[in-house]
Amino acid sequence: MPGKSLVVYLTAGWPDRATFLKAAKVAAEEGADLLEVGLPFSDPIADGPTIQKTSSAAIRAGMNYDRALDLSQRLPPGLPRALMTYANPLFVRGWAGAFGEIRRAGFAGCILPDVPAEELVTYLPFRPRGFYLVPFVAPTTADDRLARVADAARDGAFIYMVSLRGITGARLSAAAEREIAGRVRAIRRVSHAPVYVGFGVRSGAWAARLARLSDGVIVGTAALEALRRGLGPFGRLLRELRRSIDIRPPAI
Amino acid sequence: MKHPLPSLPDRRGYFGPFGGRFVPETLMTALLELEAGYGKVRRDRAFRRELAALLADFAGRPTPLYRADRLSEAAGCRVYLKREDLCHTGAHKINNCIGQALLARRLGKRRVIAETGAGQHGVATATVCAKLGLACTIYMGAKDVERQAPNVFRMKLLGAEVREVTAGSQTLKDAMNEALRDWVTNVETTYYLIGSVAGPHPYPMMVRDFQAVIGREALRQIRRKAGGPPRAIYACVGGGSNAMGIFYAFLRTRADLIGVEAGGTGLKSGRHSATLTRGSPGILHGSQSFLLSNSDGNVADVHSIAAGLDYPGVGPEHAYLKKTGRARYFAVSDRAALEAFHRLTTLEGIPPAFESAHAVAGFWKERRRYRRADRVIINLSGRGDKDIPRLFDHAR
Ligand SMILES: Cc1ncc(COP(=O)(O)O)c(C=O)c1O
Repeated sequence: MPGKSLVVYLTAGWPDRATFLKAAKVAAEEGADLLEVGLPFSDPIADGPTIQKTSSAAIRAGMNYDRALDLSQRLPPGLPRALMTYANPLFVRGWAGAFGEIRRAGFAGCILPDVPAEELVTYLPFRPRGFYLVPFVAPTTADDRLARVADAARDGAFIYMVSLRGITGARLSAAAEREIAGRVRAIRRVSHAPVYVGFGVRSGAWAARLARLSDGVIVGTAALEALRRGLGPFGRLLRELRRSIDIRPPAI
Repeated sequence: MKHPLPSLPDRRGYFGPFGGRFVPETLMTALLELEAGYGKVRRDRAFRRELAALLADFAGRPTPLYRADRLSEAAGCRVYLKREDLCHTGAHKINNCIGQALLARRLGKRRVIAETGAGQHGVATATVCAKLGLACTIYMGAKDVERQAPNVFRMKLLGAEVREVTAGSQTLKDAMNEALRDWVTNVETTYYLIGSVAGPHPYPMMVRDFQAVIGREALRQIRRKAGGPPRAIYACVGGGSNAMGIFYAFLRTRADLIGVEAGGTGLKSGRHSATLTRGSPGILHGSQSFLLSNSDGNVADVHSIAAGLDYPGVGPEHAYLKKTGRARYFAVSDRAALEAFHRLTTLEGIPPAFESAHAVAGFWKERRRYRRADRVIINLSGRGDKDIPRLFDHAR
């Protein structure tokens, strides 16, 4: 069985361009499997206060589509990456053109939290070959919609399992854990795509519990809060997460 | 000629290329439930009877179609005002709130949230929640809390909690962001009562249907009272609910349908919220429509003297009406709206809401197009009471 994946989210160009690039390097060194680069959007409705603030700070400092793609050329070459943004920044460029440019900038796919599977499948024909669009599953996703999600998760996409009812940075609970387990079982019945769990992952303990239920965890808010304190705390958090999800769960 | 529109949106919630559902996955099940629930009550006799009774005895419908003689004289044609300003709570917003709050109760939701700009939708929501015994939380931008203070106090009197939003531009757009975040978090217990024909499917359709009573009444009234159909209908457009409400019954008639947007301090100044006049296609708050955004796709800062028009988006059905040419849209400035406020107040004794004053100003600008016998309807979406304290401050 392949190991569990660690996905790390960073807002492009935050807290500044140099630190962003250094953080990506630290992520690669600490064993991140995928870097999620956030192209900041003015109205991030799926995000909590932390990512709202990093996004608006990055926009104020001049970060935009062209600069984010330019900057991404300087990310560690061995670390796969996906672009996270909202629908409008890509829509105004035209989907097909944007997907092509994003791919040429070295991204394997796109994560669009305000585009559910029903809309996402209409964009699949516009992608370059092998470029993926990540569909989401939430605790509220009913079984009868999972086939549509599975259909969208083609060409190497993973499925983004939202851990809880809420926005990024919210708190996990034991009840949420039970629901996640149920949703992941339901996904497995219809899809072979890897399932990564995100929203609310703050500690090694939670990362371990969620990784046990899935194929990996996505850390965003906690990573940014650590990075705000410095590259040292950021590296230590990733090391803790990596170690926690790699520990084999005790046999029962 | 039959206009194809009355059968739109399609099953995916699209009006031509506009509409759809652009929301976090967490909300999809709730939107599908809402669509199914609305589909059911729409045909349900008991629901329709309950709605009709509340519209009549609680909201005060039908509202009059009033022939504005002195304004007609000054303008040179026959001007009729559709008096939504006489609705309970002072604006058309109550029509939609009664419909949706009854639906919320049918769906078993005990908590209602809403966004508000001018505070009119917040007041109408708080009012209906008080009547139906539902818990109510209203999101309002900090800038609007300040400029619409009387409405904030009113919402609190009605038992609503008002949450001030300090993110972004601190206006209606940010209030809607925050309401959506609340809904994602509390989706199973909470009903999101959107106040305009915006948002993800089925809201644009449902809010239009609940506001369409305005146009149905106006069509009947103008035939009976004025002996014939109107040449033109003017309505202000923020999200577009009062305009869609009055336009809808007239889509298949020959009446010109004209939406008046907020031109702020001038279209060239960049400080306006003339989405259809100056914007381009975009995606915000759950639907694809027209939007004021920059080349990076970030939403623009907008401005209007009228808090209810101070919004960078617009309902998708208006984008479609513009595209097909069935309606046209242009903007008038803050200053023109203020002049229209004074004109209507002194000529007719009716102080309009600043939002509605834009419709009056739009008509005034184009009055010379009309001949003496032409009938023109202006949708007077709300009354000016909420804006009078600001005029008073200005005067001092
Ligand atoms: C009196 C009045 N008219 C118009 C509007 C704008 O909304 P809409 O375009 O949805 O009618 C508002 C919004 O608050 C309002 O209070």
